[in-house]
Amino acid sequence: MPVELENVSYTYASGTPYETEALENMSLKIKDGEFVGVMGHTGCGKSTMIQLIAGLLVPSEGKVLLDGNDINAKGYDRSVLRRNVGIVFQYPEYQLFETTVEKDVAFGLKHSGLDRGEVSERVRWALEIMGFSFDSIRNQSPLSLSGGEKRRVAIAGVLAVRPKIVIFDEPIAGLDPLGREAFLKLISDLNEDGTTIITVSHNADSMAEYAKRIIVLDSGRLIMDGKTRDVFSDVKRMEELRLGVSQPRLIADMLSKRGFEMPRDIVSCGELVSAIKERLIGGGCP
Amino acid sequence: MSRLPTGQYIYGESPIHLIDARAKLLSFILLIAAVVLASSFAGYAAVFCFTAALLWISRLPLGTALGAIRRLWLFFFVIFLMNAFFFEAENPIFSWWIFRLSYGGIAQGANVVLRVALLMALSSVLTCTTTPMDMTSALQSLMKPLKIIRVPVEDVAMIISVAIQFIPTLLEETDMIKKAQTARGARFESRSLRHKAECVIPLVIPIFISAFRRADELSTAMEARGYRGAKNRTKRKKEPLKARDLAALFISAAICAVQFCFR
Ligand SMILES: Nc1ncnc2c1ncn2[C@@H]1O[C@H](COP(=O)(O)OP(=O)(O)O)[C@@H](O)[C@H]1O
Ligand SMILES: [Mg+2]
Repeated sequence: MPVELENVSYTYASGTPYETEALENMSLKIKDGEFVGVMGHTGCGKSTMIQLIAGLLVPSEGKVLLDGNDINAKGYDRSVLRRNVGIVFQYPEYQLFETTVEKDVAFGLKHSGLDRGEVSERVRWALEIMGFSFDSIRNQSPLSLSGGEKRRVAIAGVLAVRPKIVIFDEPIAGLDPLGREAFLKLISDLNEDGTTIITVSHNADSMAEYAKRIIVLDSGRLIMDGKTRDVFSDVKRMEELRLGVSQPRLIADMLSKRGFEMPRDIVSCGELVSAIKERLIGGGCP
Repeated sequence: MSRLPTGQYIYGESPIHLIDARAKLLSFILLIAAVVLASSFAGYAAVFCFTAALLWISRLPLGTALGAIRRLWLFFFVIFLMNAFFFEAENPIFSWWIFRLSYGGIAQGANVVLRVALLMALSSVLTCTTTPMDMTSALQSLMKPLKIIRVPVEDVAMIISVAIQFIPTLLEETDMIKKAQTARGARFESRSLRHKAECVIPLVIPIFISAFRRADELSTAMEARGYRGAKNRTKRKKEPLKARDLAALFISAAICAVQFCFR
C-alpha cells in the first residue's frame, strides 16, 4: 500500500494569533516495504507529517493518498486506513488503560470481525514479537509493569492489528543502548517481512544502520530525500544541518586521512567492517 | 490541538490587557450583575454596547474570543425555540397541540439567549486578556476577607493557580491519547452515539493516570525546592490601583447602576 503526499501544507491554530505553518507544500511517495528514516530539528514538522500520513490531522491544503485513494475524501472508508496504518507515539505507554495486558493488546482488534481464537492468536503473536512470554504476561495489569515493559506492551497493541505500514515517532528516545539495539532489530525484522516502516529519529547512527531511505525536513519543507548511503555520504550538508554524521563514517574518514584508504560511501557499521576486512586481506596493510 | 482552546490568554497590549487584574475581576462581577439585572431596553442597550466596546478596545481576534458562542449556536437556537413556543403568555399568535407561539415568548427567548451570550462574551474578554498568574493573585487579594473565617486563602489560590497551569498540558495530552487510541481503532470519528460512548474509557483512564502521575511529580518537585505551604510566600509584585483601574471600576459600576434606573 503506497502512501503519497501531494502538495500538502498544514497550519496549526489557523486564524488565531498563534497560527503556525508546520508543513509547506510537501510532496512525497513511500512505496511498499520501504524503511524510511525521518530526520530534522525539533519543530521542523516531523510529527505533523506522520500524523497527516496516519490520517490524524487533515491537511490545510493538498491530499494524502493511501493506495491511490484520498483518505480525507468524503466517502472514504476510514477503517481501511486504521487497519493498514499503525502509529506509535513517543510515549506509547500513556495509552494503556485495560485491566490486563491481553485485553489492552486486543483493543485494536475489537471491531476487526475476527473470532476469539484468531484475536487470541494475534495477541500472542504481537506480545511474543515484543519479547514477552504470552502465558506469563497475559493476565498482568499493564500498570504494574516497568516503564520499558509498558512501552513494549503498547507497541504490541499497535502491531496486533498487523498494519501494512507502521509509523514510529522517536521510538528510541529514552531507551538504554541495549534496548535501542533490540528495538531497532525488531522493526528491521518487521520490515524484512514486508511491513513498510516510517520512523522519526535523531539518532544518526541507528538510522545509518537500519533505514534504507532518509528524508530530512527543515522548517516544514522537505530538503533532502534519498538512499541512506547518499544522504549520509553528504557529510558536509549533514554537518551544516547539525544532524550528525554516523560514527562508522567518521572512523572511515579518519582512517583515510591517516593513509589507510577507505571507500567514500561508508555509512553503517557492517560496511565499515567489511571494508576494513577487504583492505587487510587484500594486503593493503601499511 | 489544531484549535486553540477558547478562553485562553492571548497576548496583547490594549488598555483592557493593562487593567489591574483585581480591578478587572471586580468590574467583571459588576458587569455580570448588570447583565442579570437588565430588564429594560435601555438597560440591555447599555450592557450590549459596552460589551461590544470592550471587545473592540481589547483588539481580541473575534473568531477566537467568541468561538464558544458560535460553537453553541444549536444550544442557543433550541433555548430560543423552547421559550418562544412554551412561554405562558396571553393572546398567542398561533397555537397548535402543546405549542403556543406568542410575542411574549419570543421576547423571553431573545432575552435568555442574549443574556447567556453576553455573559460568555464578558468572561471571554476577562480570561483572554488576563494571564492565569495575574488572575490567581487577584483572586487571592479579593478573597482576603475570608481569612477571618479561617479559609486558607493562600493555599486555595495556589491550588487554583496550579490547576490553571496544568490545563494546556492536560489538553495536549488528551489530544495525544485520543489520537493514539483513534489510530488503534477507537471510533472517535464515528457519528454513532454508542461508538462515542465506547471511547470514553480508553480516553479517561489514561488521562486520570497521567494527571495523578503529574501531581505526584509536581509535589515532589515543590517540596524539593523548599515549599512549606503557601502561607509565608512573598508576593511577586504589589502595586496600588492606578487611575485606569479605578476608571474601569467606576464605569462598570455605572453600567450596573443604570439597570436600577431603568427598571
Ligand atoms: N498543537 C499545536 N498547536 C500549535 N502549533 C503546533 C502544535 N503542534 C506543533 N506545533 C508547531 O508546529 C511546528 C512543527 O511541530 P512538530 O510537527 O511537532 O515538529 P517536530 O515533530 O519535528 O518536532 C512547530 O513549530 C510547533 O511549534
Ligand atoms: Mg515531534
